Amino acid sequence: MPDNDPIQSFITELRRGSLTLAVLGCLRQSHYGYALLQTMQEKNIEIEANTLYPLLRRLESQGLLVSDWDTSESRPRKYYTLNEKGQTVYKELLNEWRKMQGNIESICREDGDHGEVD
Amino acid sequence: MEKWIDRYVYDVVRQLPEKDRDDVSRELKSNIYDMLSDHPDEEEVKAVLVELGSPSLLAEKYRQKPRYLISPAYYESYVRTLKMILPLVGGIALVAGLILGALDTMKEDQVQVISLTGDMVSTGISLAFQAAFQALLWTTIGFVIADRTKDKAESGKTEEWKIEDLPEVPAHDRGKIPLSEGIAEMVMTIVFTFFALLICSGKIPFLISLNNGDTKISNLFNPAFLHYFIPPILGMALLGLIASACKIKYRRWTPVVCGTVVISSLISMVIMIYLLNSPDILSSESIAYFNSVDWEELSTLRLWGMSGGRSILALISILVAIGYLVESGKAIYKTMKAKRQA
Repeated sequence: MPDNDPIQSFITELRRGSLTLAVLGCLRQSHYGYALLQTMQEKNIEIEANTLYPLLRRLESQGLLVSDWDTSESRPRKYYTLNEKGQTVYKELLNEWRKMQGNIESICREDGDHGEVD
Repeated sequence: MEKWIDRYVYDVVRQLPEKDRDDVSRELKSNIYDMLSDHPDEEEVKAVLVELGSPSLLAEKYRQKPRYLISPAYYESYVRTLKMILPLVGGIALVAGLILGALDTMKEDQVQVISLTGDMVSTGISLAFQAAFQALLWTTIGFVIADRTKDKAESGKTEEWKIEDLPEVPAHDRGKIPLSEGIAEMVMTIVFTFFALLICSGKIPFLISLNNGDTKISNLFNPAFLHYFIPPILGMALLGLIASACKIKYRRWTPVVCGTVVISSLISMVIMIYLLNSPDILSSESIAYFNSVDWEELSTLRLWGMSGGRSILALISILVAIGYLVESGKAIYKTMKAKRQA
């Protein structure tokens, strides 16, 4: 991320944690890497391929995802889905995110209402 | 076309730990092919790889934990220490090199100014570079070790701690030993031991030239005896290293640190004085020289010159003793002061 721009680096920092939540949310349904990238971009979540692929690998190594290679097609693809632990983590994170959003809203209310909810 | 993908994936995974390479390689290839159309041309492949970004950056993201030789927490003091040590060691070695170069040239009968300056400068610079390189190497090694061991010690401690374990804040932070002091001492010890060993093993001649070059002594010390210097020099180096390691570990003038510094200084002092006063230390040519000097001319030195330079060595011994005693005294004084303030 070549962001010397301080605003950009704040945005990146702010986004970092919520990206995990967005990925976990998408993976309630099974996705392979590139399809997940497209799903997220459809939802206007800015994520780059070189961030998403390593993130998938990390979440898998942390035991939140199950993965399965589908070799029946001409291109082998690795499909990821939330497992039980992943589901729990996703719900916890979502609760936390909603709480935090409410808190921040209540602090920043006087600055107008820019709540971008999907 | 496929070769670009293979080369890209190879460049990424070669920067990863062995055990992750196969998996990441397979995943990454599958993802890249998914990003391409069914029959991509070379331009399309290149565009997708450019979109994925630099292989090093991608590898860094796959590695999960950033890897450091010296962690950011220590980087500042690492740079500070280098800024202090490199010019110092380099400067001392430069001066020593200039002198050695001059002595070397003066051995020849006809001394020409050009060859003299040339020799001085080249010996000086090469010695300065060698010394600075040694200093850089050992400082880095010192910090890497400090960093690694600190990490372990701390990760053990963070698990459980009690409020009562918090250290009391000293009234003034004067008992503190800066990290740079310990590491600087350690590096100086290693660098100077290195050169002392070179001299003792005969790799660098220790030459001396007196009376405007009329008298030349090619070996001030007895070359056979110099070999016996090596174990004591290593011993003193070890003591010095232990003392500076203590300073690095505790970073404070505690009784343990003080004791180590004092014991190390006193033992080194005894060794130095013993060596300087051993009967075989001087080479026969320097004994002959000292005996031949008309000490009447140097009235202040008359007292010292009575037994073939032996008294000059006695004078050096006294200076060495003073140096070590001052070092010990300083340690005791600082420890007492730190204790009173605590």
